[in-house]
Parts: sequence; C-alpha cells; structure tokens
Amino acid sequence: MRRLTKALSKTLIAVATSLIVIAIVVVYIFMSAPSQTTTSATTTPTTTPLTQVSISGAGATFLAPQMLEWARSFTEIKGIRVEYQSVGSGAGRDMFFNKVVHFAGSDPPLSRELYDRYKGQVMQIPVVVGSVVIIYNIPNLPKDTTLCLSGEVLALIYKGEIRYWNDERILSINPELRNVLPNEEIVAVHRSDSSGTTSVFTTYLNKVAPTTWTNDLVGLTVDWPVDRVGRGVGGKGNEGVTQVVKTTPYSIGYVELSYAVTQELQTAAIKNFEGVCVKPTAETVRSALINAAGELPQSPLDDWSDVLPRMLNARGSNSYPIVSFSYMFVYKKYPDAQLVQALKEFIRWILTEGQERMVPGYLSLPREVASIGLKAVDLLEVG
Amino acid sequence: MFFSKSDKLLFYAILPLIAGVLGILLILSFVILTQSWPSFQRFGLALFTENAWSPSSDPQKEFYGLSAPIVSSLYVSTLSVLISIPISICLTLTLIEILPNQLGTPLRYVTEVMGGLPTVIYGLWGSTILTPLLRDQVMKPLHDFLGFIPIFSCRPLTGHSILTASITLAVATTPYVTALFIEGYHLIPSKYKEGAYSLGATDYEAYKIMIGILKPYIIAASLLGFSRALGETTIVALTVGNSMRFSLCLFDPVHTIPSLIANQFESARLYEYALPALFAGALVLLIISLIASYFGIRLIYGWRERIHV
Amino acid sequence: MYKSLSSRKIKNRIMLFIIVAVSILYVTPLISIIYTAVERGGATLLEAGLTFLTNLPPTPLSTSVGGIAPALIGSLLASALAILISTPIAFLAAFYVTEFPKHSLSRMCEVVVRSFSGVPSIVVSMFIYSTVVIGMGRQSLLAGSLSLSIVTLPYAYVYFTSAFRSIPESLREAAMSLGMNRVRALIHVYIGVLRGSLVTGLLMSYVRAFGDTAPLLFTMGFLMNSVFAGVLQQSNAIPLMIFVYALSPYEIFHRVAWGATLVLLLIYLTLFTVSRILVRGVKL
Repeated sequence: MRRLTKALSKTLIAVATSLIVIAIVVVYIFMSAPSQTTTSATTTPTTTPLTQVSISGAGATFLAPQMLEWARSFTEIKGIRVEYQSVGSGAGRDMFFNKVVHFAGSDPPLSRELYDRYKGQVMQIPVVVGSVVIIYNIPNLPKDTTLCLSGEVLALIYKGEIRYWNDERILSINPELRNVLPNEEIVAVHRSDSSGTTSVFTTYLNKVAPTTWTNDLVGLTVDWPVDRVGRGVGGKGNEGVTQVVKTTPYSIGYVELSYAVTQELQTAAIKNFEGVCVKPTAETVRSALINAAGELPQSPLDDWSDVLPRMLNARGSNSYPIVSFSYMFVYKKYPDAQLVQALKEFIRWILTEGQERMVPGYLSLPREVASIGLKAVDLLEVG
Repeated sequence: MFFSKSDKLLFYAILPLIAGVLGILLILSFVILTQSWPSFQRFGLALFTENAWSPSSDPQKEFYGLSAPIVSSLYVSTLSVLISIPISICLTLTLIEILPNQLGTPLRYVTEVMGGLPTVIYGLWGSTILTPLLRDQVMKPLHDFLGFIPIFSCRPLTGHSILTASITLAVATTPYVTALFIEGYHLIPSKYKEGAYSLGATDYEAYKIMIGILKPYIIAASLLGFSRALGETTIVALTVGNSMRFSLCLFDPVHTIPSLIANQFESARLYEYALPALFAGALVLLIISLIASYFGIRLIYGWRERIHV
Repeated sequence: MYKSLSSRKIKNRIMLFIIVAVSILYVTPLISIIYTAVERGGATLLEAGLTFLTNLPPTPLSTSVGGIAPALIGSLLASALAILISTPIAFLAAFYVTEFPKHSLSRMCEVVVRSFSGVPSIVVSMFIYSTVVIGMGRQSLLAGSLSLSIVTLPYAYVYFTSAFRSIPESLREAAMSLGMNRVRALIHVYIGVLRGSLVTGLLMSYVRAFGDTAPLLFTMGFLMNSVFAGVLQQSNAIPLMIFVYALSPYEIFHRVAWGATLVLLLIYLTLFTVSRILVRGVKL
C-alpha cells in the first residue's frame, strides 16, 4: 500500500510538472501570436489582414545571406511573415515545382526545356547580382599576396590533373610566388548537394575551357573527377564549402562572394577575357554586368536561359569573369488572394527598398533590370 | 480466449487499431518498394555495382550507382560495432561483477544517459571536437609512419572520414549493446560461475569463462547493434565527409546511404530517376537491417535455450 | 604449464584494473561533451540571458546571438503531439498483444512492430514528405509530429509490452477470480500497478521524440522569423536547428548551435533523471 502511495505522489509530481510545462507553452503561444511579432507600426492599413499569411521560399544558398536579411526585415517592417530555407537551388526548385513552397531562389535560370514546360506559368525575377569566387586556404601564404588563377587551371584542378600547389601551370601565372607556393596536394572542395553555384561555376569552366571541362560536367550536381583521385571533398551548401575550406589547409573551393567576405577568406584573382587578373569587387562585378548586358529579356515571363553564358567571361579589362544573377521563381497564379497580395508586396519591396539594404558581397540590381522584375507585381494574379 | 462477451467486444474494438498500426508500417514498406522500382527497371544491377551520382535534366543521361554508399554503410557500421564490443564487455563486467550496487550506480547512470543522448549532440561533438583531434593526433601520424598499410594509405583531408564516423557511432551505440550484454549475462545460470570459483579461478579467469559462454550472444547482440548503427543519420551526416567515393581507407571521406539521402533528397524530384535511386538505397538498408535484427534475435533465443541445458 | 598462484593473482589485478579503466574511459566523451557545451554554450547563454529562450534566431550577419524560441516551441509541441498519438496506440496494442497472445494478429503485430524499431528514421522522413508534405502543399509541425510518432511507436510498444508482461500472474488470476473481465481488470488492477511505468513510458518516449533529428529533416521546415505560426505551418526544433547551424560556416550560427546544445542537454538530463526516479518508485 505504501509503495502504491509513494508511486502516486511521484506520479503527482510528474503530472504537475507536465501541467506547468503545458501552461508555459500555452502562455508562450499567446504571447507570440502572429499579430504581436511586429515591433514597429505597419505603414499601410491594408497589411493588417495579411499578417495571417506566411510566404515560404527555399533555394539557393548562393543568395541565402541576402534573402534571409530581406525576409527578416520584411517580416519585421510589414508584419507579413516570410521564411526562406537555404537548401540549395536543386532542393528549392524541387519544392517549388511540387508546390511545397511559394517561391524558389535559384542561381541558374530555367533551362530551355524547363522554360518550355512551364511557359506562362512560372515567372523568373532577377533579384540580386552575385559572383562566384574562388577561396583557398594556404597557411604560409601572406595575406596581401594575390593568387591568380585561370579558368583552364581551375578546370584542371577540379579534374584532378593539377595535383600540387606549386604545379608549373599555376606558377606560370604567378611567377612572383615561385618559391612561396608549397609542394602540397590541393584539396578541391565542391558542393555535395544540388547547387546553383555549382551550375554557374561549371558553366564558366565549360565556356573558357571546353575541351578540358566538357559538357557532361556541367550542371547542378556533377560527378567530380577530382573525387575519383581522392582529393575532392563535398560540403553541403555554400555554408558547408566555406566551412571545409576554412578548416582544411591547402584546400580550394568556390562560393558566393558574400561568404568569402564575411568569413574573411582569401579570394583568388581570376584571369578574365582580356587576360587580366581581376579580384572580385563591386567594381569588377559591375564592369562585367555592363559589358555583358546586351539584350536582356524584357519580362519575367520570357526565357532567360541564355543570359548566364553571356554574363560569364565578359569583356572589359576590369571585368570579373564569374558573375551571375540570382533569381526568384514565382508562379503567375496562386489560388489564395491574400497570398497573391502578400507576394506582390514582397516582390515590390525587394526590388525597391530591398535594393538599398544589400548585404556585403552582393550588388544591387541596375535600375533597368529591377524594373523588368517589377513587371511581375502586375502579372501576379489569383487563379 | 474470450471469457465473456465484453472480452469479445474488446477484441473487436482494438482490432482496427492494430490493423491500422500494421497498415501504416506496411504502407511505408509498400511506398519504399514502389518508389524505388523505376530505378531497378532503368539501371538494373548496375545500381548496386557501380558508384556514381550523375543527375541530368535529360533522363537518358542520368546515372546512379549506389555501390560505394552501400559498402561504406556496412563498413562504418561494422567498424563501430567492432569498437563497441570490447568496451561493452568491459562495461558489462564492471557493472555486474566488479563494482556492484552503490559503487557502480554513477557509472550505470552515466551509461544510460549516454544511451539516450540526442544523436545530434554526438554529431556536433564528433564534428567539432573529435575530428581535429583525430586528424592531428591519430590520422596524420598513422598516415606518415604506417602509410604503407592500405587502410592508412590515404591522406587525411578534413578529418571527416570513415574513422571519425565509426568512432562517434561507437560512442553512441555502446550503451545499447552494453544493455543487451548485461541482459544476456544475467541469463547465464550461476552454476557456471560458481563452478569456476570452486575450482580456484581468479576473478579474471572466471570472467573469461563467462564471456566465453556469452560469445554466441555477443555475436547476436552485435548484429542488433549493427542494425541500429546502419540507420543512423545525424551522426554520420556530420562526421563522414559526404563524398561519393569508394574507399576502405579509414581516413577517406565517403557517403553512407543515410548521409547521401540527407544531402540529395530535397532536390531529387527535379530528376526522373534520382528519387527512385534514393528509395532503392533506403530499401537495401531496410532489408539488411531487418535481416541482421532477425538473425540477432534468432541467435539470442537459440543461445538462451542452450545454456539452460 | 601451471602458472603460479601469485602470477595469476597479479594478472588478475592488472586485468581487473584494465577492465574498469576502459569502462571509465568510455565516459570521457560525455565529459568532453558536457565541458564543451558548458564552455561554448555557456558563453552564448551568458551573453543572451533568458532571452535565448524567447528571441528569434539571428540572421547570418547579425551581431547579437538572438535565441531559439521557434525551435523550443516546435520541439515541445511536436514531441507532445507525437506521443499523444503514439503512446495510446502503443499502450492499447501492448495490452491487446498480452491479452490475446495466441491470436495470429498478435503474433504479426509483435513481429512487425519489433522489426520496425530498426527502421532508419530518415526513411520515415522520406515517407512522410512524399505523402503528407506534398499532399498538404507545405512542410508543417503536423508532418514533423507524424514522423516522430511513427518513430516512437515501436519504442513505446516494446516498453509497454515488457511492462504488461511483468505483471505477476497471481494478480491476473486474482482479478479473474473476482469475475472481472479484461477491461475491468485493466482499469482496476493493471493500471494501478503500471502507473509508474506508464508515466515513465510517456516520459521516455517524449525524451526520445524531443532529441530525434532525422524524422524532422524534410518535414518540419525551418521557421526563423516568427516563434509559432500554427500547427499546419512550418516550425522548427532544437535538434534540427543544431544540425543545420552546425553545417554552416557562420560563427554566429555556431554559437547559437552550442547554446542550443546546452539547453537540449539540460532538458534531456532533467527529463531523464525524473523518469529514473519514477522507475525506482515502483517495483513490479
């Protein structure tokens, strides 16, 4: 009998604890109910009913640092919840086409085939200009020296054919580093997941070194030749690659500029179309954009599939060769009227006020390009 | 079976629930089977004999081969069990024989805590603390001095490797294996131990005899531990290196099936055969794990009968 | 051939020492984990104070460490929902199987459920994603909970069946001899005896669900800009957050990950100790 009452009192304690926990949770939920997450007053009266809506997006890690800042700012300022998951262009597109998220972030635009398949249904909006930079970790290299690499050399490294840092082909571009570059094996870091950054990078390699880096090695996911000789390592997301390069001596990797800037990693200069070694900066990226602009599609409903190859390896002595837009994919029609309204607000905000809140490593869009994207706001409808 | 009408009522009332439970689990198996079927049709046996992960927007050009992840899954799990076994034996002996009751309680408590610790904590620790330690203190010296031995012959890159994953997995699954060993040890009739002591054996010699009797059970319990380790995702994704490589060298980064799925699942629907390939990997894992569990349990029952003779 | 007694005794001492040493050595990873969690996580918690539990997580370029509120709420709720679904089912199933053990359905249930305790939890995640997430058109707390409930079901089932089986036969016979049917026996006799194990089973399943990451990987989403958006919307979870942040290169995310690890450790140790105390309270 006493054992039973002892058990009873112990169970009472357990029950009491759980009730307290539940009570705390309930209080929490009421404290952080949607209408109370905004700390600042909303500017337009029409946003009040929209605070019940949440916009969800997923996609490119390339664009993630910028998109995450935008999502947070927009949620705070307008009270409309936006969530973005940095899962990679491939996963983002997958979730978008399966209608698990409302918008996708993608570095490569829709390919010709995909564009034809979704013609009229999907809109592509360039939201930011980014660049793929080469980061490396060579411990004994002084911070102020510039390592210059060419597309051909990069292709050979990732093919596994250049093995050591002091390979003749690297030294011939960097004669002043002849006695500085060590006789260590290069660890080539790439993406382990489906990546738009990989797509941009491999498209560039294929453009400047088509015989070395052949067509079958271009894409969101690649069967890296350097893996097969044992010197390739995969990182998940731009985040993962940065992490791996940071912690692995004598490694090299490709990431979006923002990751290199915020992690204070060494970036390599790349030989551009004119043969000049150019480091990725706002000016060099802008130069590439201006020189390559040519004829951009005039509407989000148009085909953007050949914009990337035109932007890569642009002319101009001060142009950085690996520059790319990052896109937002949205549908033209959504069944929920509130969602459509919220999306319009979000897109408009990104392309206007958002362009003034750029995170280091990203370039704001030229006005002409932003105005093309703004057409999507009018094109969005309920249906 | 039915003692009264209300019993019958009870039986038929709960029956749909049980059917539901079985139903869900069977639907799960069914979904895995059907989702993986297209990859068998398309690639046939090459799915298991080749090593590749080449998606393509052109379905004709897609190719996936799971040989490396499957072999690495088995390799990492086996290694982790092999590391676990001696540790578990020591823990079993310590907790049952050497440190009885009060003295052993802290150790028992700690072991149980470690058994239920969320695996992500093990993974984080393995990735940030164990990895650099292993790489610099263990892998590099082994590679430099004993590099001629095949399993040490690859250069440690980041430290994330088969070895790191196996060790972290071993730390996480040892409590489970130890619990099984303890259960089995308690089942051994005391006459064996008493017989040993009556012949003048020292403690250690008596334990050797007990462990000798336990040996078949140890193998069985290891199979169960192996089955557990096979399905582990979090620890592996953080420590194994995530690289499609076929290697038995301990310092190489590889992929196991769960880490491959963790990396590629969310983008798999973009391609026609990527998702079926991943499900095929999951299916293989499920089958191997079920077979291992089955034989483990069978061996345990067989052993239990034999020692009571 | 025969070793001297003294040499055997020495060997005995040495081997015993080694055995105990190895056992104690096994504990060092936990010590390392706790030390690192306190060192790094403690720094984060000290910096943020209690707001760590109420604030939103930081963006990659933030300077202040923010908090894990969405993950905390998500974990608490998802685990609660998961065991709300799985423990009653597991309990009833365990009752059924021990009351009617000879029936073919019981035998099938035993085999199937026990085998499925070996299912890799990521496979459950794949299954829920392919069915619930795509069906609903979004990731959600509900999907995460369903995933967790499938994973905890075999675990709770095994626990409850051993609890039911440990009810002394004499109690059963006594109940039957008083003319009780099975249901009455359950309510009046068994539950009284099993009260401790019931609560422990609930608690241990909750702990299990709380700490599991893989089932949530594709199903829960990753809520960052609000604390709670509803059961049918995305949410977050502490192990999930640790996992995602551990894979990122941002220092700020690493600090949050370690802070979250410390919080998770504390919650885990508390729940674990409570359940152990309860077990000791009732001896079957």
